[in-house]
Amino acid sequence: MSDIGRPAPGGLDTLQFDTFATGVPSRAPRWRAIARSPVALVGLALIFSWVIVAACAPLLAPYSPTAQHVTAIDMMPSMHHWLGADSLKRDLLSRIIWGARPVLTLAPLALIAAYLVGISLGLTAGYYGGWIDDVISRTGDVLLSFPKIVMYVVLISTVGPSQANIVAAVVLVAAPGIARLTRGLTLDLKTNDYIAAAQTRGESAIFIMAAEILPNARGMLIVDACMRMGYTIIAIGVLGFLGLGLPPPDPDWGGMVREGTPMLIVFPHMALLPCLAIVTLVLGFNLLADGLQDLQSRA
Amino acid sequence: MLRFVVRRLGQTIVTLLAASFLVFVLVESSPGTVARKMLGPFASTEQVQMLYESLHLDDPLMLRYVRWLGVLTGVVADPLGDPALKLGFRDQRGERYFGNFGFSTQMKQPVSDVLWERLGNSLLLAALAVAVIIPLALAMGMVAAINEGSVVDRAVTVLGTVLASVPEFASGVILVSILVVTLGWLPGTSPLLPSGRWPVYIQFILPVAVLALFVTAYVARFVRTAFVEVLATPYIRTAILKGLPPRSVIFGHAFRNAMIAPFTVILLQVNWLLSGVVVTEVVFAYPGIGRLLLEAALFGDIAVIEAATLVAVFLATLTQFIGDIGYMLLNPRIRL
Repeated sequence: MSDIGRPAPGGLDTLQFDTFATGVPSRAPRWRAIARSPVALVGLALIFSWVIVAACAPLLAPYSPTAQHVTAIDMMPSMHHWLGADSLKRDLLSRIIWGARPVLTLAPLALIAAYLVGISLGLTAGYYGGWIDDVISRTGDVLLSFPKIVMYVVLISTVGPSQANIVAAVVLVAAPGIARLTRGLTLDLKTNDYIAAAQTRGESAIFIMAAEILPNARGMLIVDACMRMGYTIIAIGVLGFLGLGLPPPDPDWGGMVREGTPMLIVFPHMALLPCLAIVTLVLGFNLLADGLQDLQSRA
Repeated sequence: MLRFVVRRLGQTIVTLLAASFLVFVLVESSPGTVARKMLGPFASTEQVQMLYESLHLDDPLMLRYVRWLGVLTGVVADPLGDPALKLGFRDQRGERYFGNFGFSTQMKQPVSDVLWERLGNSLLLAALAVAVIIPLALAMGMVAAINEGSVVDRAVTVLGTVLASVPEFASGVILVSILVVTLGWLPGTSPLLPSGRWPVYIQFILPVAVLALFVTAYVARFVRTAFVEVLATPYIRTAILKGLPPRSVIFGHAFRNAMIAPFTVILLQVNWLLSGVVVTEVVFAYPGIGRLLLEAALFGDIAVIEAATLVAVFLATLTQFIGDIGYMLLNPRIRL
């Protein structure tokens, strides 16, 4: 979805007015400006709450996420287990708290890797054009022709579910889209006078790409990254739900939904609560993306 | 126009070939495990070795890919169906036919026996979802655009963001807990069998709702943006000033021009929808191609993984192709 969730690269000039006028890389989006967007603030608040929960998991979680409590007889929420217990009588609150860790480390790590690959390829394709562009773009088209979940399922089931493989899969699935976006932005930006000036000065291609083009494409890329973050969290959740996530017994939100689903008729909380955790985290990133996009088009 | 169509068709075929090669490399790159996966965990080492040799699995990858393409296009027979192997694989369609994906080792039957039926079910589900999504999204987007800046407009935008944050398995779980567990209005699974008290058509409601929830509000936002842009153009102002009734301004003048951007978005959503279909089918035990793929992937049923993936990629590229052509028909300015 993040591939279509952005404004068309053609409409870029309406978004980044002053950077084009002055040719000086601006700090887009300005972080202080976020205070002007309530939507972005709500998003940030949601994200930060989960980051704090993940960081302070040992302090916040009342029990170990893998300990089984024979005393939790009916598994429903109680004084001892605020959110109840799962089908193996493990404290649900502790599992949700600890479950924030794998998502919040895997998703950013994988996306940073995907952006490194995607941005380099996109800049190269857009800046040089010609056959280099053809090779990169056509390869990307082939990868983009796979429905994302299909790609994830085939990849992970072949190489096996592990943290490293999930990161690699995210790179392979996300990088082509990032490259396509960066290429479009580069094509647009390289027609500016300051690029010609840099070329006349005799700057190297790498310098022009990294210091002249990339900073000006940053605003769009940050919005895209927020949306992609939301989608990557969903994808990791889906993998867990499909039984291709991180191996048990360590808590993983998607996996918890999977374990809770057969019990839905009797104990809906087991599947509903981890769902809620995923939804709030994803919503945080989507709201932040919305807010940032709005700020850019408003400024 | 014709030259463009032919060129795009060529590109589509190249993409499909490249994608099929990629899938082939992924699932068949280690030849030792290929024979093992085909025979299952209880076969002896000798049996695996025998199959390994008779299938020529030590040939270079490229050669094996070409052979696989040969089987698929009906040029050569699938070596797995050779009676000398005594695996008991027989295809009633004959040894060579176009669209032969080989044999499923999990289900012990030709892939074609299950693939097309499952694909039909998935397409039905996707078509029903699209039939719900398009009118809803158009209505929501148009109402929001006409009342730009109003409460309705804001509501559509916020709803889009919120619903796009709920993955299909989560909305599935939430809808099932409310409509099935608490209220008991609908069945929680959709095996498409006339079992118990739920007729088959009722079983479609929840899967379609889950698919539509994720996408509708999202498409509506694009419809809204496109409509707002078109409504601000001079020819719309002229139409209004000339005294045309609002209905004919919106449907006669604005509609077709405003449809160009959302049209592409809707067709791109088909690729997205296919992803959603996999998850939705698993949630509701719906007998479609997505669940077929997942089961094959978990089991290691190579032929089925290849077939299901390729069909999914084919559908995705086909919609892209249709999208490009439709885009031209909607927008005469870029007709080549």
